[in-house]
Amino acid sequence: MKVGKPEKLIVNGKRLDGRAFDELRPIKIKAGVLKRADGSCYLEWGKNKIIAACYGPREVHPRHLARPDRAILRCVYKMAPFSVKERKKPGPDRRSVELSKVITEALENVVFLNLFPRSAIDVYIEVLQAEGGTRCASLTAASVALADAGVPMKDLVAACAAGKVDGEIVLDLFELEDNYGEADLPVGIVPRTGEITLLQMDGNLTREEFEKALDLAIKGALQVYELQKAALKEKYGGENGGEQ
Amino acid sequence: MESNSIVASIKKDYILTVLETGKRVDGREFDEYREIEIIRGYAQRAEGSALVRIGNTQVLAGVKLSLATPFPDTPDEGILSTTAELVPLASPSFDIGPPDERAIELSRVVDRALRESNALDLEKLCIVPNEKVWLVNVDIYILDYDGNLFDASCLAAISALLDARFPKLEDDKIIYEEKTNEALPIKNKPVEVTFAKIGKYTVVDPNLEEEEVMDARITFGITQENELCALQKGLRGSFTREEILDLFDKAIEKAKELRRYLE
Amino acid sequence: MKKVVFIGEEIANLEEFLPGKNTYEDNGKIYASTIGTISIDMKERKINVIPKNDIPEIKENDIVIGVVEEVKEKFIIVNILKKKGAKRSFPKKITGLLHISKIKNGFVSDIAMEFNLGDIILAKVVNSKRTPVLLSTMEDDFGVIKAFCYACNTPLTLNENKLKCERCGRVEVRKISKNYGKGINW
Repeated sequence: MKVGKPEKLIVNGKRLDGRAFDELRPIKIKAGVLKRADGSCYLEWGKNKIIAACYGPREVHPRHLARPDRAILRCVYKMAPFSVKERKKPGPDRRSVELSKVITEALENVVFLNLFPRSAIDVYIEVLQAEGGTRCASLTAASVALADAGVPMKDLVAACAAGKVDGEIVLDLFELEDNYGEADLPVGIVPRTGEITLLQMDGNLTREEFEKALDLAIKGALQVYELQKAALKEKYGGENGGEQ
Repeated sequence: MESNSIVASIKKDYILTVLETGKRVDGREFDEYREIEIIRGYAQRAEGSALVRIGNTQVLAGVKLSLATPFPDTPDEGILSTTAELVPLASPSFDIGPPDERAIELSRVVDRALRESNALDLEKLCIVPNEKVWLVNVDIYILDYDGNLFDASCLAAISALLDARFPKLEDDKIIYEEKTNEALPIKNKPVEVTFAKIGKYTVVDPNLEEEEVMDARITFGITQENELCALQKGLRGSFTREEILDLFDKAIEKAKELRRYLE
Repeated sequence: MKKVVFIGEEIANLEEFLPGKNTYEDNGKIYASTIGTISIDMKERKINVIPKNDIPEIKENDIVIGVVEEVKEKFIIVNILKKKGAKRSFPKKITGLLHISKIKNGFVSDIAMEFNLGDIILAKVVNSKRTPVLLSTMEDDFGVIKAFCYACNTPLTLNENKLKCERCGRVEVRKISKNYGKGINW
């Protein structure tokens, strides 16, 4: 057994933070929280606190990265040194580089990059407080920041993870479950079409368990999608035009 | 000239015409700060933290504690380390990558105020002389850049230090999940006050528009005894001896205002 | 107030309209691709979405500032930096061309008497379909708003329709905007 692993992750049919198997942590999303950025999003997901900002489409620097036929999308995932238990040294590590890549690719699917040749769309994601599941939370926030920036997209991308903990398939793993559970399956979807644009897995699942976890994650992501839309509606208004 | 600086040079003509009328572009008096707000305990995985807003500028500072071997020349003192990151989400002019000269200057000027005012009693951070001391990392994170990072960062750093509580120490291991009620040994609460010189005018707490056109900048670090603990003049422009002495007096008055936010 | 539509929201089908700006077509249906309000162009039978957060585009009648990059015999080339009313920068570099016939009312014999490299100018866009976009400085508001001394690069000050260098005394002429030296607040 790993050091620090609780004896049980599920007690009397409940998870250690009191949630049911198919229950999300509380999520709060706010669009447009930064003045300088073209679009931004603040997101609390359980104890995760994340800010995402979108700049662009704008001129590409360095210029040789520009593509004649489309814009380039660059998402950068970063963790603040004080966002985790033991201080994280500033600067990119292998994990952040990989996360940045999969988040970028998940969003490239929905952004109409062809409309902005020779431009760059940059999305910067800063994790200010981490509690497991920052990948899905970051993708969710990044997608709201892009929408807030007015970047044309076919839909938002909504994300949520499912996994296996003490033999049970559960939704939205928090830190302890993430560290000591049997599997973690983050999923990002395009809700309107049902396409899956982010998918990773870490652990062990049977065919049957995988199907169950995937369906659960998709169900969770659809709930997240509603919260994303509600945040944007709060800023831009529904029937009556909102604050602008 | 880069395009932003060309636009700034045109804006400067406008900003100067407004300054001539005795006002600033955002309607403030020359010696007036923007609205200030400090939220302590913002980042809960840090041992201490504070989000500071000065107008639209937002700075988050987090304090992390860990154990370290003391420096050989100060075997019975803890270690204070201050870094600042101009994270790219805060401004189109901040890039990803290692800290540039602006970030390094910023962290050093804040560090100087904390260190030279003896904000932290480093001797009280010694656990076993020569062997084990507390390492206090203050990480300053710029989230939204609308000018005057020095004052905002210093306020964030000292507020985060005031907010910090030691984690539990068990068999020489830190239990981060359990914070004690014990605060850090704070001896002084320095603040920084920055002025921008635009043409012949000098204004406190420059916003971004003013910073983009300023000729010179000066930052005073002021202790709670109203003494000077850090000083940094920046940019190509200059100040006269008389201007500096006059600004020092003004800085002391402004420091009193800022310190009220630390109570 | 008009109803706000959201990204991915179905707004029409292909039998009714053609997909216009900030919309897309998928499987016979038209969806919004940005948050905004619907605008219908009956003439072209197009449905468009007017975004709430606009990405700047260069359009006819836009007022822009730019810096003179090239001075040729019959035209100058301007690097357009900003347009009035835009909160953010353009998606890519935009270049403008100001033809000798669009500089001012009256005959221009030598374009170098009107503009110089590095001058900062205020101009109006008269044709945005072409690349580079076509500019005009015919009106009094437009023309040079800041110029630098050819000899010592000091900003020139306006003195009775002439531009004078306070440092070296040199006098230069330009097509001057009536806003010369006043700067901009946008």
